[in-house]
Amino acid sequence: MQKVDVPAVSEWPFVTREDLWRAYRPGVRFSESAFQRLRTQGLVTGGVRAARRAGGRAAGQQRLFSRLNLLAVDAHRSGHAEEAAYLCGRAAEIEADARMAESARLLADSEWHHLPPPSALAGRLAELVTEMCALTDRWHRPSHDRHSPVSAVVKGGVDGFAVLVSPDQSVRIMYSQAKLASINRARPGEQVYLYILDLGGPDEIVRPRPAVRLLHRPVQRRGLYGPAPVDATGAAASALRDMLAERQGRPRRQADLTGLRLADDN
Amino acid sequence: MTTELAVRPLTPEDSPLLTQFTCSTGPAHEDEVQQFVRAGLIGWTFAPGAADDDPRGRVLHPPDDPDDVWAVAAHERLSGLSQDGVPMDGTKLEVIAVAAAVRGTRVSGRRIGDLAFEAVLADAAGRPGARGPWLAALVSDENAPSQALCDRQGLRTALRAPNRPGYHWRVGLP
Repeated sequence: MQKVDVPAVSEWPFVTREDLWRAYRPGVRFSESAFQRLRTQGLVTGGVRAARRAGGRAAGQQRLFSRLNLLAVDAHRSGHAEEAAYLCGRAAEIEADARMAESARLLADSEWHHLPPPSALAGRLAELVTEMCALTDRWHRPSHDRHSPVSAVVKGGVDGFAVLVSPDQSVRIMYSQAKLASINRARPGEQVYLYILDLGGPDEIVRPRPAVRLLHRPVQRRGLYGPAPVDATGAAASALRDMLAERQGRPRRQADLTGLRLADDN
Repeated sequence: MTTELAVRPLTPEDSPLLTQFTCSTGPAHEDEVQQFVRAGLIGWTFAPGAADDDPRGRVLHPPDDPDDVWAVAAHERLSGLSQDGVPMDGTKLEVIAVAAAVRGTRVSGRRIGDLAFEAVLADAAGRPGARGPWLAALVSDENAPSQALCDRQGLRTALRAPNRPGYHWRVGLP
């Protein structure tokens, strides 16, 4: 059984157009014409074409976009046109990097249907995605200038609020844990980038965005232990959906503790 | 006769105990589980960065002897399974291993493997950040006892993992 230490990517440095649309118009049905307008207005980049294959045959294509586009959209929605343009420009540079095209090609070779969970990455694709993560994060320059993103770590809080703290401790902001949960960053130790708009006086607007980050954990690539991703499709997916639907509203089964004595910290 | 097993958390200090743990009677699929418990479980549970997956290890032992390991069990937040691209949220059973010396023993009329499963279920239910309802385990095609345990506990739907020939997922909604 092979055992190797590899960095485990926790988030893709690429997003799909659906991801961008959800950031631009949360809860609104996707509109192709509206999305194309974002591109012509320079609010999102052109993306990189990623072909899809199934059974060895062409099965359509999709575009992948640098995750920095999410930040650009966010800045645009917050009225920070200059910053949005800057981020969009950086996103375009990342998409022009040969590694992004190679990543898209390898994804096509793996016959992906949706972006697989990042924990499932292996081989050259894992290397590329790791490098793209580092390239993406390099564009986040920690700074305390107005409008610039500030790197921060989520610390434990109280009464529904977490504390976001910059590495040099100079920025400490109380922020809603529920809102952090909406970007999957509610747990202590998570890293975010803070967009801070100083309104003068005691007022400011803070918008945290998730950082693309790497994890390091021993990972086994063969045998019983280690990633074994499966994206069920067709009849299998339908069966799973039916199981979930049938179960809706029923309480979860409680553990039968007959014959067991749990320790106090359970 | 033992009428109950105590369940305590796995700790890094259990490493010497686990290196001696024997659950295999010879078949390769049992050796694989044993090797993981002996050499991989502590790192899997406590490695830096692992916390994001919320890994949890449990040790089952007679109440009067915490170092007499009758079974180990471990679980984490499920990742890697999806249906049409939608992630299946829940718990992944990483391992349930019963010591060879007590295989076949029943406690309060129950199989030790089933007790270990219930210990996982109880622990998973109490995790912060509420896990979804799915329960999943990757099993060897050759491991009949593991498959029987999955059947008993409601993990009856099988999914083939493309990069894992010889293994398959068992999933369910207990």
